[in-house]
Amino acid sequence: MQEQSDEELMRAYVDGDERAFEELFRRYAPIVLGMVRRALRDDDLAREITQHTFFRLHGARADFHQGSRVRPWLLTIAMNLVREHWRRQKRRPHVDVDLDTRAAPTAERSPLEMEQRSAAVHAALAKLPASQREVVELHYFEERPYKEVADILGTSEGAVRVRAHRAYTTLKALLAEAMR
Amino acid sequence: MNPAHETEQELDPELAALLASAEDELPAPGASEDVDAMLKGVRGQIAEARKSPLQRIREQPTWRRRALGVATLLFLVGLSVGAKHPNAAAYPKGYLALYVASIATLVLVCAFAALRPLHRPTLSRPLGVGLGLLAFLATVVLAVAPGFHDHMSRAPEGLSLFAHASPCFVYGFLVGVPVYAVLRILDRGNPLGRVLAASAAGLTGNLVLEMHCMVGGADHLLLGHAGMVGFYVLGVLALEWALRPRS
Repeated sequence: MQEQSDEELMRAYVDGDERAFEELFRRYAPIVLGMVRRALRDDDLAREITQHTFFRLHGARADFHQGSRVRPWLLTIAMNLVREHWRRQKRRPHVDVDLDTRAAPTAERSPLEMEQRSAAVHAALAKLPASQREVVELHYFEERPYKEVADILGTSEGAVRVRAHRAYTTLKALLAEAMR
Repeated sequence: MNPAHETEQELDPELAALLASAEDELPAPGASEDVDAMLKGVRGQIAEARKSPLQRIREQPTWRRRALGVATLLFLVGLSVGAKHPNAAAYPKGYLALYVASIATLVLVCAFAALRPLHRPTLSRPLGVGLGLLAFLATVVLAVAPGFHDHMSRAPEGLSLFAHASPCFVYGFLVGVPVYAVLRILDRGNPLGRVLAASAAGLTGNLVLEMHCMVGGADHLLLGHAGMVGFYVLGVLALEWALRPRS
């Protein structure tokens, strides 16, 4: 049997099919969880926000029309919740990591080195302004095209491209600094 | 890594490799037992929400929630017009139209923004708060602008400012209460919902006062009419600030 598209599942859920919601949840909860976890660096909070994202999807289902797409809906709801958390928290945890720049090539790196590199990236991401960090999150990690990132964030594609350029330039500088 | 991803072609390879190390840290999608536990949690939340009549109202399509909000506003303003308040009859038509159009536009913008669907990006906080402050400022400017209130009478001699302004303040505030309540009931969780609902409530109260009250004078209008809008907007902002989470 052919697999139903996200949109078909969502329409089925709007019509009252509970199994369609479960299928959507299984498809997207890991994606949303991964995105939120990277943004917040807190497992419990990431689970909570993921659940809340789907709860809000349920509450907003009557707005789902022909032509709507599930993925941008979910990512927008999740990103709104992350932004709200950032706003409330104001200060985000700051992580400083010393990294050995003379580390071996990827294939030869130990788990400890990989962990250090990952922590350095997260520390650098945390130093970016929220407006740039969310672009990196959606564009790089979620592999969304600039146009869709712009729709999710409620801004223009040009503005997203500028933020991405600035973010990647800053990240490169921060990571080079961390590895010196 | 995202081998087919356009980012890879744009990024410095060294940076791409570093970013990928943060990506590799994540658990394999779908492999986690978290999914079942989380699904159970969401189903519990949904089951709980289905018991609430308020939740059922919030689940209405956005066009219907907005129509309900606007209907409430029109009902309240209509009540005021229907009551044949003397100021509405005496008001110079051009100025009245300008006043009503300015305030009504702001009310609708605030109400629509308060009921913004959650799958759309949230308005930025500065924009939401700015809209609230603009609502207050607009009523201040209209209170002191020449031409709008020249036809009105002065407050009776010997009556203190508090004595003649406070009834207007209370009346306008009470008119705004149902607007605030309805917008909050219809709100699905907009983080700016409170301040936008308060702005719409204050503006509606101000509009009804403008048609109802015959007392002119900048001091009366600033304290009794515009002050009430400021009380709504600044009061909600102060409350949010006082109740903000501290960690």
